[in-house]
Amino acid sequence: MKRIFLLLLAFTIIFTGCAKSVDTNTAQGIYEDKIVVGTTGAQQGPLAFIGKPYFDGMNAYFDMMNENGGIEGREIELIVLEDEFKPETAIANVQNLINDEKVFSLVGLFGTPGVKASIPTVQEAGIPAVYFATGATAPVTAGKNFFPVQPNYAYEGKLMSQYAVDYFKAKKIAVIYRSDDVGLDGLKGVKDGLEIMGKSDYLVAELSFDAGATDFTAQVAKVKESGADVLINYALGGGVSGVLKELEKMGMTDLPQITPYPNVSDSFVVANLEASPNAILNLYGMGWVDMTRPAVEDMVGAMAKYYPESAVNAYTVSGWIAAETFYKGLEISLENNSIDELNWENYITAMETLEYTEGIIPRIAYSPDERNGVTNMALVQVVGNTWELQTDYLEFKK
Amino acid sequence: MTIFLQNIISGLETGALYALAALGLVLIFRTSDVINFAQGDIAMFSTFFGYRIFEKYMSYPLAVILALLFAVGLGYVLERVFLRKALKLGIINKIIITMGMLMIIQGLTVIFYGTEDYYLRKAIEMDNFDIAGIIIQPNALFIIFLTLGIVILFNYLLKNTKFGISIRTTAEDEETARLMGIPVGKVYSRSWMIATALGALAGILVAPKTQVSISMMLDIHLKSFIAAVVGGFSSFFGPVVGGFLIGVADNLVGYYWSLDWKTAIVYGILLITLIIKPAGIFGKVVRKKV
Repeated sequence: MKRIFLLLLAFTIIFTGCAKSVDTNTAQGIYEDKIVVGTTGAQQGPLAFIGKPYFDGMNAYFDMMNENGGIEGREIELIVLEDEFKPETAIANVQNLINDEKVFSLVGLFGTPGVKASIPTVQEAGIPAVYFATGATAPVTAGKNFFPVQPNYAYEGKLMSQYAVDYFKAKKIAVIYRSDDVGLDGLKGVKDGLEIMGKSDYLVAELSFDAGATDFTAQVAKVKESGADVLINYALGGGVSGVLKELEKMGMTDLPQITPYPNVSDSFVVANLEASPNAILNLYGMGWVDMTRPAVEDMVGAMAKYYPESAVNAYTVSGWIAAETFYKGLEISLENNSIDELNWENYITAMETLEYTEGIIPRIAYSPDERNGVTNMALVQVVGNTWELQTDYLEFKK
Repeated sequence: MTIFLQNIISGLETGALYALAALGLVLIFRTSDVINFAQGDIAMFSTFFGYRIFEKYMSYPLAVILALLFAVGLGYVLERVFLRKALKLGIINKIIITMGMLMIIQGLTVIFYGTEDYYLRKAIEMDNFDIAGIIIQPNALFIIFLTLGIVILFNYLLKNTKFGISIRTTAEDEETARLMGIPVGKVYSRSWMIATALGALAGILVAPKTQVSISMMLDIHLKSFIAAVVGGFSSFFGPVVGGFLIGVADNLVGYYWSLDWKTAIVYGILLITLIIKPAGIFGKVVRKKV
């Protein structure tokens, strides 16, 4: 009886393994009918307004490609785990995706705390990780298997300082920033940029506020006192709205303000237009996606088809780009390898040759030494209830 | 002087919102021994309801009234469904129940109202006054005086009506209240209904300053807790003073001292206050004979 049981157990193990594995050289997550990838992030709670459209954007891209036949007949399956924006849960989820779900790649890990916390796990595993929904700089230098796409806040801050000096001809620059990773990285970028340009003395005010703050009287009063020509408003969502309203209240509506790229969405403008009708007309943002490109139509069409109830905004675009960048990496991997030979090593090697210019972002490229993601950003301005391009997509002058 | 007064007026406006939310927290705590961690999210949910019906169906005043009635109904349902049967449980269990309510409400918000931010108009939409360089928003004055009016009315009702006496008696000692024939169950329900309405009012009034969003009450909720602790959880008047104090102190310390250290300094001062007056500024230390 015991022998029969052991024999049955051995057969079960062998056949279960054989049914899933396509080839012993193939990496995990590659099946006969699908390629499984995974991610983690917050889809519920206070950050659902970012997470939900973001993951819907990712799924919409994969749904569209799957409906078009998938990659060599295999569909992409995305596993999304909830981490409530908690780093410890993000780590557990990433371990689960790598070790239990056996995903081929991590795509679009969401949120600064979770991304930063998960980096050692991803480094140790060596699994390809494409796109991080954060402006944190950590993934840029994390290793060969990391492929960040979004501009990082420190770099964006440098570029903001360049626009303040070159475009607005500012001699006095004030920064209101949220006192967290986002704001501090942005402030550091502004300071570094001014220092590189030899204009550190242009920074006349550094004014912090706490996340969730509702009263910006003290900050705006200090901006007024400083006589700033330009205000860099380095925060996400509500903080920028609060500053806009205070500027409107105090009649400081002629002061140009520059805000980071996550705020550059039409829904942000619509939500603030009525409350700050004059101040918002002098609001500029850092654009990294070009919404006039043909690829946008694909995204809007796919969202209407697969997720008609979901908001289409900057976060949707981010999710779409995450999925698209991963997919383009797969395509170039398969130029030199059959799908049964696909593994982490040759995917990473292929990604290091990626030069993609047909998507929503003007250009994403990597090389063996280059992991900065997007570095070309343009200045956009609120006009009516949308944003209009004011400059070319420029890099920081080194 | 102009900037000083500007900071004071803005601080009073924000402080009034902390005060309204804190009053609701204290009311629930005093009557049913529950620290309601879902208070902010109940307010947020009711504000979303008010925004939606205002945007689609009716005038602002009517939408506000309906949103407050909605909050009253929500308070009743939450108390009856989740907390009534947990009355005999310890305070930790009740806190966990309110945290569960918080998560449910956040989930429902995403399902019913989506994830976008919206702008809700001010209660009073008039041009700002400019008095010697001090910009005063009529809406800010409205919020401050409305809060003061509610606090005065609330304290009057507490002292001079049967309903108020039943709340105070239940707050003092539930068993004695029962022995005196006070329908304690109804007191719990009514406390929740009033508290959630006060929270919803704070939400509706703060929405023009922030946005109508899932995170709109995070700061107000946190500060209202602190206002209640500083003013004294055992007092119905103290949390209101605590709310105003925090609103004004935040602005003055931020402007004259340091924005970077503002939070640490303000809460440092408050901690010192609590060391001197552990029950809060207006709280009473109850000493029982042995």
